[in-house]
Amino acid sequence: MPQKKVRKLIIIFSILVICGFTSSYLFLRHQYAKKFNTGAELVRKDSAVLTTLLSEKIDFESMENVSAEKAFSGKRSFKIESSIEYGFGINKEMNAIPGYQGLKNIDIEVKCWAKKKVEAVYVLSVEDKDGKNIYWESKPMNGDKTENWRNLHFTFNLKPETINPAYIIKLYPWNKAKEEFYIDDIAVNYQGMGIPVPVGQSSTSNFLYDFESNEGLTGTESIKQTVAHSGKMACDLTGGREYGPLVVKKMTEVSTSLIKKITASVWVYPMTDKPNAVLTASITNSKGESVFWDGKSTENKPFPKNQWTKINASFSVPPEKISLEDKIQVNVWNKGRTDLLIDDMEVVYGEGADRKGDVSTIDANSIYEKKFSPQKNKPPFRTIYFSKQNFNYSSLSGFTPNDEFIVGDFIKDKSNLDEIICIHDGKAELFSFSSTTNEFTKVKGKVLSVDSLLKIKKNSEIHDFTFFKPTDITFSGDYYGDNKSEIVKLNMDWRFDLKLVQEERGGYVILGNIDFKGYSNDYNPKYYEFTKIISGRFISSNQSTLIVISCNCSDADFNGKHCNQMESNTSLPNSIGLYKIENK
Amino acid sequence: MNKLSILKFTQRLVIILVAIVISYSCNNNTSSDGSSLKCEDFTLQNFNPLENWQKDSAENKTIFIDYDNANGGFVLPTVKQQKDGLFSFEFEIKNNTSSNQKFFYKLYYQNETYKFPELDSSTNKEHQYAEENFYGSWENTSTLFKEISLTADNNFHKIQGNFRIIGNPRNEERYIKNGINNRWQRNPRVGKYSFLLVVVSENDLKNIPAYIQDIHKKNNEHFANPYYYYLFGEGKQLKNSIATKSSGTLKVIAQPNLGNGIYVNDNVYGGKDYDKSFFCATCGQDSNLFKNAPLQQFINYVDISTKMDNIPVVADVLKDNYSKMDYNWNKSFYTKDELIPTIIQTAKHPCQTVFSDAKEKKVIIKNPGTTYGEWKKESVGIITRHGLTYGKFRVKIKMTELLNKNNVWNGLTNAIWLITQGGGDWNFRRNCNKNGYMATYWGGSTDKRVPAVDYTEIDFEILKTPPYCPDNTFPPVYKNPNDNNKNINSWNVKLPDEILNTDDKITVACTNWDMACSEPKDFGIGCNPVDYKGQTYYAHRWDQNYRALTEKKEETDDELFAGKFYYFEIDWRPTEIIWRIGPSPDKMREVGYMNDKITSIANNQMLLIITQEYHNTKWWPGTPYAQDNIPFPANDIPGEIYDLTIE
Repeated sequence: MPQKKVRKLIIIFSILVICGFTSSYLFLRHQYAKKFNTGAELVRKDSAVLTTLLSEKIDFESMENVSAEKAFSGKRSFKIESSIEYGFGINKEMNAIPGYQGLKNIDIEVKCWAKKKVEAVYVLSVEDKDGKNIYWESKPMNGDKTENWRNLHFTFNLKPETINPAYIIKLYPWNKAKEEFYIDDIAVNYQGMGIPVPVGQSSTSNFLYDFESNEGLTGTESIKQTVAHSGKMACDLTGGREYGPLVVKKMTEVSTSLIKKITASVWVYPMTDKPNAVLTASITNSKGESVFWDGKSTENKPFPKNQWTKINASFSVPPEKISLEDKIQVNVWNKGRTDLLIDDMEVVYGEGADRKGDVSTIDANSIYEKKFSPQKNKPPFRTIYFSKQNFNYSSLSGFTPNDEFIVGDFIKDKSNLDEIICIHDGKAELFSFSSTTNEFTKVKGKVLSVDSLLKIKKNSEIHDFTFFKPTDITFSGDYYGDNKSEIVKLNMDWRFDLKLVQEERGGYVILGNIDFKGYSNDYNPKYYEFTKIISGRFISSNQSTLIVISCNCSDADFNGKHCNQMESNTSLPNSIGLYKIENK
Repeated sequence: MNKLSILKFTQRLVIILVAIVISYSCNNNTSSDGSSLKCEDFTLQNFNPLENWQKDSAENKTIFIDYDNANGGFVLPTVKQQKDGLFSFEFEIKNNTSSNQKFFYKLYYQNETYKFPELDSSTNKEHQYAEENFYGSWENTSTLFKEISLTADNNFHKIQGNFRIIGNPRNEERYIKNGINNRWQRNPRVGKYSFLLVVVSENDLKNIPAYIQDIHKKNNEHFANPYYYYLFGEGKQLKNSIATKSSGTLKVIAQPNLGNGIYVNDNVYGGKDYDKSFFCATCGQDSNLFKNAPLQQFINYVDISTKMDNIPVVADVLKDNYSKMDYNWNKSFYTKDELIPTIIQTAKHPCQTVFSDAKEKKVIIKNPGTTYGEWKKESVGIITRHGLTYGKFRVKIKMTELLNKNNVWNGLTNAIWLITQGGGDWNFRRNCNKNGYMATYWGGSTDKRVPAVDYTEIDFEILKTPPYCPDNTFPPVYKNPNDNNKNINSWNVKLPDEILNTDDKITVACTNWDMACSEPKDFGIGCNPVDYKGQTYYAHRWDQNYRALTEKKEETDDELFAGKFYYFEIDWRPTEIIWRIGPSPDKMREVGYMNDKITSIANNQMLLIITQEYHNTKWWPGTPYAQDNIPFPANDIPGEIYDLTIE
């Protein structure tokens, strides 16, 4: 590096260091210290995951006394007139939310139409059964766009002390300035940690009982150390013993709606010929009455003696006979009372949740007749691929999504390329790309002031929430290298949702979904649990590119924002890559 | 040697001599060798049924079916194959009497490879279905026996005649409409033919029933098989008659030239206008193709009620390193409004996706790639134009691979199948005498039952789906994914072990559509074992009204579809269907077997179809990859057909 440049850098660094290195360092040290907490025992994350416990949607289409004047979807919406102080309210008893014990937040999306900016707020109130307020929070419903439907998005975090089965959650708009506006399509997601499941699958509907522990089972006296299909324990149904351990689940524990199917499997080790063991599923209602029973037997099937053989079963459940209050029992009935062992019983309740969202409005005929034309900002979008560039990334291998990054052309040289300042563990470091060696290298120099750098970063963020969500992360750049600017928009609320957006006549147009190419194996950045994107003109002054840092996180309560314990996953190792659009 | 021994020896000698005299005396003599045959009134020798065909080959002769200009039905031989388009036969006859005599002769032929035995050994009567055998005689069935006048000169006289093998040899009314004999509706069968020469005295002729002399006629509403009559039945007792079955045979093979073009039939487009811009010399509708093309573009039947909501992803599953993780993410993380509502497509531009290569005598089919906004999964295939009953249908083919290197399925089903030539009454399968057939192919389980239908189908369908049998591990228990992007394991769920254990395998499903006829004595539901040549196959039927019986065998995708080609064979016989696959015709192995004890076997005329088709996976319960969650194809997916031989 030329000496002039180094000198300039040293001057910049020194000024920043004087401004506030010490205080920032201490602050960030506290924030990021946990990153290297290698001594902590790994929490088995699969046992509890952040998931949607219950979803509700209100579109007002089937309600009376609602407005037909305008609607975001369908023909009706809820009109909040100037005489009304409290708008349409949602009341939900906590015990009506499956797995309410793990409730962490309530995520609300609502469409709002107003002639002018409103001062109304959206309220979350938690009350006990006597109406005493336990918790209260509000979020402003204002927005820049008027006389248009706006998407409002709120997330209310709930503290553990606000969780009680007897408490009632209330959600409503408070028209405190007595204005007139409309709301439509309220979508509420009650999110929380799923109930513990004893299987390596993060779902409340998949269960594996390997009999190494009795958790989740009743009638476990037959479980003992013996010949086992896995581990050391199995269920011993010898000496005429008729019933194996029972799995009992309340319907609401495993599904938010009535299930239509139960599938199950178990390994059977007969000690005699012709065993007759029946894998059964039954349902009893709240009165204890049996409303459903079905079973599948090993009889007349190939179950050789002294050998583990699996039996799978699928039971169709008649929805008209069951309710959410019912209990589901699954077990093995040794009907033939011959000597046998069973192990590794797996139960899957239901057929999986429906996809989110509304039904597609695409006219299939328009596709068949090749007349399909995409509607502005409505899916399906084109896919725009960013390809991974084949560089040596070793100097960036210390980057994690926990780090903060600032991008700019800090080194005034002929290349006009952007450099990256990485704020990591309270320490700022500068990295630049060398087109000679085709790699990023750390620029040697003094440590930068973290506080002031963060201020620079915040100033560059977009705050237009008429199109963007508050949880969107945005970058602007010339990604096609055509002297036009685009915006990359990342939202991780539900999925890795990366879009390329163009500003157009004061608004925004989604050009397409961004996906990646050129990565090894399965290492598509969008599959990782924790991803951070840095955008800049790193390798070319004419074209912006993305550096994507992708990691997995083993924190039990990982919220997608900060991870204490990065996870090394052999099938999806933490990775970093620079991606650019190859062709327009 | 003592006296007693001499006496016993003499007795035995006399018995043998008497037996010889009796056997060569004056009842109907039958012989299958070339030696002379004698009865009281005459002697026959040197019967040669195919005197003018492959003269160098005395015994087993072969003829390949001429597909040119064969829309009216196959003819053996054609004028291209033999001058005058006729086989000539000859034999020598000597009058054994001392006076001039009239003798009468008739030549019959019968397909021997695909026939019911003439004699039912359990009843010692004519087999119930021997009348279905493909046999014929003079083309004009009203020409009965032909006359020979012989003087008593003690010399052999050569008699010569001509015949040809044609469709509808009995001139059955079933195949005649508006005065036109649609011989193509009962084409000559492939396989070996025998020839039966019957020579009778004037007196014996009077005793031969009219329905034997005239094969067009029926006896009690049924045709009578002349082979049975002469070789096992009353004809055997005729005093001065000889029925001799040729020792030599004629093997008929169908091997259409795949470079002779693909015809496009307007009918499959329902009379609507369609794009003809892709027509070319080897694919289209010109008169040459109409007359000579052995194939037609096949348009799959699409059930419009089976709409898919497909993920909006366009990818080349086979080449893009598409993984199970890709599949799982796409399955969990698209919203409903992002999905593409569609049904499986069929070719709207005939000749765009099927090609007949005249130079290399092969056919290429391609499922077209698609793009954003077009989003289609289009099935593609060809169908033969000439129907046959029975045969060993063997194709040499390079179909698309179905699994990629990550063993993810591309959603296609490679199918080699036989389907009814349709047509209604003329092509009805044999009546079902117990509960009847389900009336339609597409109806549900409450469809009415009818005694006869024309629907028949025998399939190879090769796709990624688990076996149904043994049913202890069916259906697989698939974990439900959970769309939590903060935890990979929640959405990237592992497939069950029984699926992963055969991850690189696809299933060869062998199916016979018997339309749920429960007449076979071992008709069953669920999984039922069938033993054949030391192997046990499991035949599966969902319920009493399910129209098809299926056997499944798992095979590696690479072996069947990653090589240069592979052979697939459906051996459709009167009482059995055998499915075979292999790397060469001499290394075929059985992968499926059914017989008439468990399923009703088609006896009507069918066509062969070869397709790469997209199925709704709801048809295949337990399939690990749902069609809706498999991307649209980014690139064309080709398959090449090198040879079709039916023998």
